[in-house]
Amino acid sequence: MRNLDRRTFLALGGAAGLAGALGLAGCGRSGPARDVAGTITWWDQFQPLEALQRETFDAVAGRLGVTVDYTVYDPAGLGQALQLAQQSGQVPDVFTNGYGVPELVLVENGWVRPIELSPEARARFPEGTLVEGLHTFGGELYSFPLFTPHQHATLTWFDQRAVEAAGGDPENGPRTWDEFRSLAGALTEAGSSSGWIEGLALLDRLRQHVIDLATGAGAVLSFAGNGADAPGVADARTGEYPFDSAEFRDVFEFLGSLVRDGVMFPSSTSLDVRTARARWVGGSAGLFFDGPWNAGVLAGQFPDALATLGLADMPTPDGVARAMNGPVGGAFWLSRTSSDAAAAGEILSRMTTADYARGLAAAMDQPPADVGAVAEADVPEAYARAVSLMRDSVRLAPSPVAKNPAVGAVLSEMKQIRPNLGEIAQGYLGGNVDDVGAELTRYRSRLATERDRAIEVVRAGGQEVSLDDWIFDDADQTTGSPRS
Amino acid sequence: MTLVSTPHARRAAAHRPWIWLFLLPTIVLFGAYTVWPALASIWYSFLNWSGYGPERPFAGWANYQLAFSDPLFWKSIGVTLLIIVVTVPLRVLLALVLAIFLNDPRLPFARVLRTAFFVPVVATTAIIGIVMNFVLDPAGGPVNHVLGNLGIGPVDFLGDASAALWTVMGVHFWKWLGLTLMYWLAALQTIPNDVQEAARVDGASARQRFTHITLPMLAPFVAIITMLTIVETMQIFDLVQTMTGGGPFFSTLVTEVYIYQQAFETARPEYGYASAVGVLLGVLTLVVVGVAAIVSRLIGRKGAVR
Repeated sequence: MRNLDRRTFLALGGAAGLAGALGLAGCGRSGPARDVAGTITWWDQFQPLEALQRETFDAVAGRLGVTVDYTVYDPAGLGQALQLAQQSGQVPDVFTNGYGVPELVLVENGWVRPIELSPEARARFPEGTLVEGLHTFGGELYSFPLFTPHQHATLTWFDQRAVEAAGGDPENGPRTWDEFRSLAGALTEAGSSSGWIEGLALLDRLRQHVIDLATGAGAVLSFAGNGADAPGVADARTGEYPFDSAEFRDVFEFLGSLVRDGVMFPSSTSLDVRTARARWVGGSAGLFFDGPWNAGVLAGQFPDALATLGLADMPTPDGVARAMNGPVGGAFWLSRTSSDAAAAGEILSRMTTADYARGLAAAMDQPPADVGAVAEADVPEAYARAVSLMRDSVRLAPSPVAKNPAVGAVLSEMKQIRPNLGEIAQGYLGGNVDDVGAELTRYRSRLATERDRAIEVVRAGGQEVSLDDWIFDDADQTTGSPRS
Repeated sequence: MTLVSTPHARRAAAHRPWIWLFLLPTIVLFGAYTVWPALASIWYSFLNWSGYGPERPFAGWANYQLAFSDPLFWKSIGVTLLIIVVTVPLRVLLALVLAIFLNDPRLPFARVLRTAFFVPVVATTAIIGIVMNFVLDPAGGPVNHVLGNLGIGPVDFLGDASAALWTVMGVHFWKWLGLTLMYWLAALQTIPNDVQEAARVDGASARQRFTHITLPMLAPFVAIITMLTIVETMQIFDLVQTMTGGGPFFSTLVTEVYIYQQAFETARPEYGYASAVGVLLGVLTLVVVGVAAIVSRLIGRKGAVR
């Protein structure tokens, strides 16, 4: 056998390398999973629902002869993944709106297409569930809500033994801001290292708390689109941004009083919600604001804490439970490029069933749109009570997008204004904002200017939209139910 | 005129395809991961583009005008420059002092010490950032535990805006000190032993050998080591993102984190604007490195002629 000399070896190696590179190049663009026959890619951000989703996919996909390539992202990660997928032409068949843009933009940009639900599934939506401009566009159904709008993220959670030891009411918890403040002080004195803990590093959640508390203080707000994104929140009666109104100033004063009292957990400004929750469960603090999903997280991660878990609705200045929340946007959207819309429609149809609603309730994340399913599900008493409290106290707020879908285009056109509401709140609670009133006024003013600019741009594009679309003369907040 | 093909020219011509073949991977990878993203960023910076969607209207200089009027952009530039001004001179000087000690063959455990200084360099920055969150925790972290025993604190190192930036600087300094140390140790190897030996034979003291031989011969390295250290310091994204995310209240908002926030970490991403800020940061890097190079060369020249 002939020995290889150096030059021949290099030649062969080079040729092999080139062939390998060409081979790789040939394989490199095999395309995303959705191009594989019979495969549906599905991206969402509902980590607590992962088991339910997989169960649903297994039940339907096997019958249809398709497989579902399912990925659960954290909310921030989903936005980035979609951003990159959009640029590389690998958008999944079904996704949650992690783009952060109003629903109308998804439709107008042609990124999504109508979903094909079975007639039985279409008939399951109660009257008023589907909103034109949020779920239907031009009468065609593009998405539907999974969760109830009767929820907020600012329930007061506590350990009943600790509250009792501090002289509080372990059954009902604090009702008013003053009660909350004095209980936090008593808990601090009674041995908890702090009276109140919050993950203030998560600005979106902090902003949500501020807006929730403002509605509890009586602010009558409208909510455009999904969640409490500050540019989408307005005073429902004037259409103006409300962030330096008396209600919002009162909220800042209330939260600031907790800092001045020395009852806020020291490193709250650098904690995320998960860490704050773990600290709270560990006894580092007595009171903790969170949504109903807190019971579900505890059931999964700290089951021992459930036995003495207490909760109260969001505290308000006068003790009357009240809050407002906007219509809930669609959960899942079907990509325009999906190669198997029929199979996706079958899976989505299953997500309208009572079985799925019970599964949602059992997963103890956000309560299902059909809140009655919670009573039929095997859930801890605390979760059922949280859902029950909010069903009574949270009023459905008007939505400018539902009034005129072009409002969505305005919101999409608006550039972000910083420091935003969450950042101002974090700065204030961290001692970095001295005159919070002036800061809130500046924020409100800059936001209003930016909205005016965006309205002009959208109008120049041929759409009819004006500040009047944010005004709801008959909006009020009278349905808050007094607690027993 | 007749072209004469010499054996040397023929050999060179025969080698040329191989030269290109072996350069190809570098050209492809450097082009794909450095040149193309840089050029694309420049192009994106002139677009009013959110990062997705078919519409990418040309925005001209609007993104740059926006940056120049954006207080947070200037805040991030200020934070970035402050970190450079504080940590780079300290790092370069302390690493030089340590390198001189560690280069002394009489120092016991020199290898162990070199390794100890270098271990943080090879540790993943993001992991260090996360671990430091626990280490510096005001409620239960070991640092505050020690401080508590001394009757101090607790200190909210990362949650207090007045402490967070200095804390991040301290961790960054500790993490990368070993790398600058290695640069100096490598530089010290370039000083010929026979020069030191000759000075010793001539009766020069250790101090005289240091001031008249070691320092002047190290002077030419000041420029390159300073420049490398500055560039490393400007690439502080992973540490800041994992330790503070730019907060609290923008106190640690370095420009890299600001770019990331504008492009990704927002409900309203602005890729075009983020790209413009990225281009401006690149220009700033060139300016800072250029100034540092000029100053370092002046220092080096002064040292060399002494």
